[in-house]
Amino acid sequence: MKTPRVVAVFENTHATLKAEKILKEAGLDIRTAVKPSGVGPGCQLALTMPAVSTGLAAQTLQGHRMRTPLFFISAPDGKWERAPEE
Amino acid sequence: MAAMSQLIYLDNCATSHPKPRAVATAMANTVTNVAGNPGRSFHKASLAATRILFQAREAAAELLGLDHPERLVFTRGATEGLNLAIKGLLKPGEKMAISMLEHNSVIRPAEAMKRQGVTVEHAPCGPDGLPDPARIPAVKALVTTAASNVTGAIADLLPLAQACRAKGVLLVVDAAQAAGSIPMPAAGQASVIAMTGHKGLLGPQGIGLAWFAPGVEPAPLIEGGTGSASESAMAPEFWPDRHEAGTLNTPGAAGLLAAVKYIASRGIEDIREHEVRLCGVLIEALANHRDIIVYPPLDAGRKASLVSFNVRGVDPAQVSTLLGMRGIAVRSGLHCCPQAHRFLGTFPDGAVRASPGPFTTKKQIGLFIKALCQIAADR
Repeated sequence: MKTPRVVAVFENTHATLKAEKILKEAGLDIRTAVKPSGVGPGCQLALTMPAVSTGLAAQTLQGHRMRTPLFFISAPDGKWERAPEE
Repeated sequence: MAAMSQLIYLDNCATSHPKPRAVATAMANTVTNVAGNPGRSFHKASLAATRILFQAREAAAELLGLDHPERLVFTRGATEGLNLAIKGLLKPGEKMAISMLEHNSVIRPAEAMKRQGVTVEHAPCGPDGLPDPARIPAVKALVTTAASNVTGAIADLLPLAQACRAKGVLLVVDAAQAAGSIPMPAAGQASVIAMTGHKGLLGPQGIGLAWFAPGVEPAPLIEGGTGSASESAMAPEFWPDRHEAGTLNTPGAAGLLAAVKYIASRGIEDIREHEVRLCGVLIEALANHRDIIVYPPLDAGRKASLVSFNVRGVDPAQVSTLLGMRGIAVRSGLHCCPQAHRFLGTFPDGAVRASPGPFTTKKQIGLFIKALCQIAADR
């Protein structure tokens, strides 16, 4: 079964790319993506990661004095909803 | 006119030349291969452009020791950064102070703000024309050059920043002649640092940077598309987008990134030592010539990489023309800085300025001195 991925939305492009660099260096499975329609305001560029990584990602970013992004996950009806931190 | 390769280029305070080879390569590669608009579309080409801006911002912040790289915004140059600071931070009824050595990039926006009801005064200065940390005036903002483009005098930023903070005054620093060529360990203690990319930072013309300390929130100079928060008719509240409306200069940022990498690998201290050494040779030769007046400060270690001088009885424009005919590039006149020339007593004719750069050789300095002595002898 495919591991569900969440979308992490940051305030701006700079923060998104900075987070990408930090999280990749921390060994997380990170990909850039266009923020899906229906996912609230914020930067157009987003990161995706396995849903199980959100807690570690948040912790890693905080260690670099970065704000925790908003995590979204696709619901069965196709809508995006806030994902809990794992 | 001498071919550029043969030119003895001593006009690095106007713009640095030559640039590290990687600058042109990076720019050409960006124009040729990176077609996207940064921060807009996020296909491969757009993302590549976005990454260039990100890397350039991060690298420049690291080189200059500035925290919060997102608060380091791209501008067209130091002038735009200073306009953003002066026009964006001051409101009618408020006061600002400036040093005795400010460039027109400060004088003119300050004058424009004066017409809108901002009071502009000269800060009490030391004998070098720079603000005295012991006498910070009661104003909203104090604007000073980090290094004068006419005298070369260098501001001691740490005591100035500490004194300004103690009095609740914003310290706005024009680092056009310092960034990249003079170590500024206290840069991050200032409220604002504005700089251009094409002088000491060795990048291309048309790109600069301005850093604002956390809590210093200027009104945007321009508004427009940023690729973010597009649902709102207002400029985004967050940095850097708030101050970067419109498509940014990606080739310029690529060139600047390459230049910053060069400086980081060579070291600002190494560049500084090289330029101090050359200025020392210049000062020693010119100050001992009876027909040449060299303007202070005369200690190469306490000034930016420039020497301003005049040949007695000869128009500075004529001196620079004669040097130009010998394949030597210098700048004469008022250097967009009439105030500093009034301070020196060289207004309205100005002076001749020779400014060595990181690639200037001692041999070139020797040839310049020989040519200048000949001009002085022929006068």
